[in-house]
Amino acid sequence: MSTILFLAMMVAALAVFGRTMYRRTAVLLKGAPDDRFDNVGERIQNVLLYAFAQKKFIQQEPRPGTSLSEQTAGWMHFFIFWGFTILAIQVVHMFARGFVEDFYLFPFTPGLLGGPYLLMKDFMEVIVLGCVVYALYRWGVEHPKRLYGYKPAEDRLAGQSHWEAYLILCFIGSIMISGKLYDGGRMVFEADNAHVQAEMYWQPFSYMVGVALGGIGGAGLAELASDAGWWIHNAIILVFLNLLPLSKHFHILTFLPNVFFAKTKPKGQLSKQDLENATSFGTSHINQFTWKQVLDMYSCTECGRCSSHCPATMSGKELAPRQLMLNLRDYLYENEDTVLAAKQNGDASAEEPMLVGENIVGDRLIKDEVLWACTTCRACEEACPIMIEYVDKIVDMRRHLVQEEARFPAELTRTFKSMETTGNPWGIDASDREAWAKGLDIPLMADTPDAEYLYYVGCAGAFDDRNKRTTQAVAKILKAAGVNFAILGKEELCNGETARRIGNEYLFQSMAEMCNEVIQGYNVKKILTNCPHCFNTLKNEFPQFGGDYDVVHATEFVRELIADGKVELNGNGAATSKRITYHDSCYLGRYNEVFDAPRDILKSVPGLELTEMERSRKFGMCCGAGGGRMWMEEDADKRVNFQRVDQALETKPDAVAVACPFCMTMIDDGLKSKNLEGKVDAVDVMEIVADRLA
Amino acid sequence: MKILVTVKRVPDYNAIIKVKGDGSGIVTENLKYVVNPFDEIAVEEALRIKATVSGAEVVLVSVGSKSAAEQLRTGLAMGADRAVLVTSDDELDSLGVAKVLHKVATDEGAGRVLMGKLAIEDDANQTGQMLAALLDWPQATFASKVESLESDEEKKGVPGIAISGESAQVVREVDGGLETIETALPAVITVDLRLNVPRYASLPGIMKARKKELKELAAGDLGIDLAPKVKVTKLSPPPERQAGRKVESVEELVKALHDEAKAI
Ligand code: SF4
Ligand code: SF4
Repeated sequence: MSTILFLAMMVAALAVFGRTMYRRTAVLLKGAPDDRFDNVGERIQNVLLYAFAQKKFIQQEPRPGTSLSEQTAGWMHFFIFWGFTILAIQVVHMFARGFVEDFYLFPFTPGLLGGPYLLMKDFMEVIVLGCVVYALYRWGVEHPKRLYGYKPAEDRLAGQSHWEAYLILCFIGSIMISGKLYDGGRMVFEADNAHVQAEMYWQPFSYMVGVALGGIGGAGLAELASDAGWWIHNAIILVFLNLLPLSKHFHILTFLPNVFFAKTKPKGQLSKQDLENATSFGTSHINQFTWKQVLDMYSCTECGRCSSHCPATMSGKELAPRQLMLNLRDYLYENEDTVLAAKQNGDASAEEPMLVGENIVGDRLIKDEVLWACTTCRACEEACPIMIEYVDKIVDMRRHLVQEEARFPAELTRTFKSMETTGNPWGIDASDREAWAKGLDIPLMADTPDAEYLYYVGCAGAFDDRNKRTTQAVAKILKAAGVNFAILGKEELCNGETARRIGNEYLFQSMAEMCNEVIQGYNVKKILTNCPHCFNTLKNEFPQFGGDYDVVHATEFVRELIADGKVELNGNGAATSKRITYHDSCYLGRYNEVFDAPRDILKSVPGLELTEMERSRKFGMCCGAGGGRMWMEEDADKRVNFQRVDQALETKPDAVAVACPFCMTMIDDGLKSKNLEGKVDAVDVMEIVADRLA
Repeated sequence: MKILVTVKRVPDYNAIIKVKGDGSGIVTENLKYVVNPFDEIAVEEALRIKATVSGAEVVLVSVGSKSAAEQLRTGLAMGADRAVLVTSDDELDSLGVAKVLHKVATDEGAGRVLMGKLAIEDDANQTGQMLAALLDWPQATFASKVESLESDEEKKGVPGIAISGESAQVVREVDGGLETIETALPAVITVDLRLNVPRYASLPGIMKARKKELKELAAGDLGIDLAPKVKVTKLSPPPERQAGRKVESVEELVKALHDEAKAI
C-alpha cells in the first residue's frame, strides 16, 4: 500500500518536474547560437575551482559599508552545498528503500565505505542545520543589503516578503531533521538489524536522537518518528525539486553547466557582429539573447555580489546588475509560451527572426539609462560566484539602441562624428597626433620600418594635454633604455575601442580595420602601449580582424627593463611623493590580469612607499570612464570618480598612481574638485619612472 | 509635396585648415569632408516635416565634385528619399550654384527648398537668397526656434518650422532676439544652427541608403550660363598666435597689460 502511494507520489512529482524542465530547456534551445564547446580543459578547471571548491564564495572580498559576515555567508553556502552533495547518496538510499528494503548504493554499503560516509553525513546534517539557522537570522534579523537590495537602483527586492527564501530554508532544515529522525528511530526499533547495528556508532548525532526517542516513547514512538521522518524527507525532496526551476534555486541545477559554459575567450573580447548579413544589429527582444545568456538568467541566485561591486549602483545610477538580470528573467518566464511558439530562434542572422514580446530595451523593461550607466568595468562578473556575464549583454542591448534606433545620450553624437571624421573621439585634427613628440626626436615607423617595437600611443596619449606628459615620459624611458622602437605619428589611427563599448559596432569595425591596415603596412610584430583600452583591443580584439600581435603594456615592459638593469632608478626625483597608492585600471587589471607589474615598478623606486586601497586588484573600483562613459555626462552628485578618489584618500597618499589615461583624467579631475591640486596629485606610473631615471 | 534640400560637401569643421603657399586655395591632402553642418540641420528639419505630412518626399541635391556623393549618402542614411548630384569640375560661384539649384527645383517640381543659411567653408550666405530670387519665391532666412535644443519638443523631434496649409511659420534669429514671420509657400527657407539637433544615422538607415536612387547630372549639360561672376583671388591664413607667457605677480601682469598690450 505505502509502496504504491509512494510510487504514485514520485511519478506525479517527477512528471510535473519533467514538464517544467522540458519547457525551460526548449526555451534555452531557442536562444541565439554561441559556441561554448571549445577549451574543454579550461572549462573543467573552472568547474572544479568555482563550482566545487566554491572559490568565489569563500574568498575574502572587500565590502566597505557592509558587515564582515558576507564572507561568513559564503562559508555558509559552502557547507550547505557540500552538505547537500554528500546527502545526495543518502537521498538515493531513502528513495530506493521505498521499494527495496535496506537498499545501499555501492560502495556505500555497511562493510565498505558505508560507515565513514555516514559519519560525514551525520556531521554535515548538523552543520547544515546550523547554517539554516544562520541564514534565517540573516533574512529575519540582519537584513543585509545583499539580500534586500542596494538602493536606489535595486528596489525590487525591498518590498517583497521573501516567503520563498523562508520556505526553502524551512525545507532544508526539515530535510536535515527528518533524516535524523529516520536514522535515529531505526536504531531503536530495528536495533537487531545487523546493518543498523553497524551504522549506529558512525552516526553519533543520529544515535543521540535515537536514544532520546527511545527514552521518551520506546520502540513505538521510535518507529513512528522514523517512518514519519522517511515520508517527510522524501516528500519535501519531491516538492523541493519542483520548486527549483520556478525559483532562484534553479541554480542548484544550472550552476554546473553555467560555470562550465562560462566565457573562456579573452575576457576583453566582445563578439564580432556580422554586419553584412545581419537583419538586426543588436539585442532588443527577449529571444535574441544567446542560449548561454538565457542560462545566465536561469542561474542567477540573487546573491547580490554583482550589485555590491557595481560602481554604477554605488554612485546612485539606475543600473544594478542583479536587478537587470532578474527583470530579464521575469520577462523571459512571462513570455515563455511565445518564445516556444516562435518558429525560429532569435539568431540575428536568420532570414526573418521571429521577435518575441515587446522591445525590452526602453521604458518597457530595461531603461536606456540603465544601459548607459555601465562602465563595462567587469566588477560584477568578477564577483559573481557562478560566472554570469553582464558586459556582453549590456553591450548587445546598447548595440540595438545605437545601431538600430540611433538613440543615445546626445553628447555621444559628437564623439561618434569626431571618430568618423578626425579619427579620434577628441575631434582634434589628425595632424596634431604627433604634437607631443615635437622636439623630442622620436623615431617614426615611416623612417625606421624595422623597429622592433611599435609604440602605439593611442588617442588619449596623443591629444589630451595631461596625458601627453605621460606619453613623453614613456618615450623618455624607452630612449633611455635604448629600446628599438618607433611611433606611427600622424599615420596612427584610433582602434575604435570606445565605439565598440558604446555599442557602435559598425563604427568600431571600420576603424579597427583601418587601424589594423596601417599597422600591417609595416610588418609589425610587437606593439607596446600605455593605454589599457588600446592594449585590450589590440591584444584581444584585433585577432578578429586578422591582426595578431605580441602586445605588451608599458608597465609590463618597463618592469622587465628595470629587472634587466636597463633602467635604473634613483631616489631623488623631482616628485616629492613618498606614499603612493595605486589605482587599478579595469582593462589592465580585471580584464587582462596585469596587477603586479605596476606595483612591482612602484616598489622598486627607492624611497617610495606603496599603500593599497581597500578595493584593489581584482576588486578595484572603476574610475568611471570605461565603456564610453568618458564621453557621457554624469550628474555631479553621482560621480564614480569622486567616490574612487575618496577611497584613495583614505590611505593618506601623497599621490595616486594610475596606469591608464582615462583613469588619469578621472582621478585627476576628482582630486582637483577636492582642491587637492599640488597636495595630492594623480601621476602615471611611467611619469614616476621617467622622473627618477638615474 | 516635394522638399528639396541642399547638401554641400565641406571640409570637416574639426580640421586644421592650411592655406596653400601661393594663396590659391587650401591644402586638401588628407582633408576629411563632411556634410555642411547647416545643411545637415536642413535635412533633419525636412525629415521632421515629412513625418508630419503624408506623401511628402525629401530630395537631396548637391552641386560640386563627384565625391559629394558621399555626403548625399549620409543624408540618405538619415532618411531622405533620393538624391541628385550635379557635378561640375569648375569652381562655381554662389550665383552659379543658385542657377543650378533653380533648374533642379523647377525640373523636380519642388514645393519647398530647405537649405543651410551658409556653408562653413566660404561663409558666403548668398545662395539661398539668390535661389529665391530666381524662383521668384518668398524666402525665410536663418530659421531657428523658440524652444531650446534641450527641450522635450526637440527630443521628440517636433519640427521647428510650422507648416499649415500653404503657409509656413518661421522663427528667425535676429540680432538680440527672435522674430516670427509667416510666409506663403512655396518658399526657400534657410536654416540656422539652433533649429534642431540632427539625428545620427542608424545602421539600417545606412544599409538602406546604399540602395536609394542617386541621380548624377553634369552641370555643363544643363544649358545654363555658369561662368562665375565672382572669383576668389587670394586666400591668406590668420596670423599665427603668439605663445602665452607666465607672469610672476599681479603687478607684473598689470604692467604688461598696460605697457605692452596697451589693453588697460
Ligand atoms: S560592468 Fe561594472 S558598471 Fe557594468 S554592471 Fe558590471 S559592475 Fe556595474
Ligand atoms: S548575477 Fe551572480 S552575483 Fe549577481 S546576484 Fe546573480 S548569482 Fe549573484
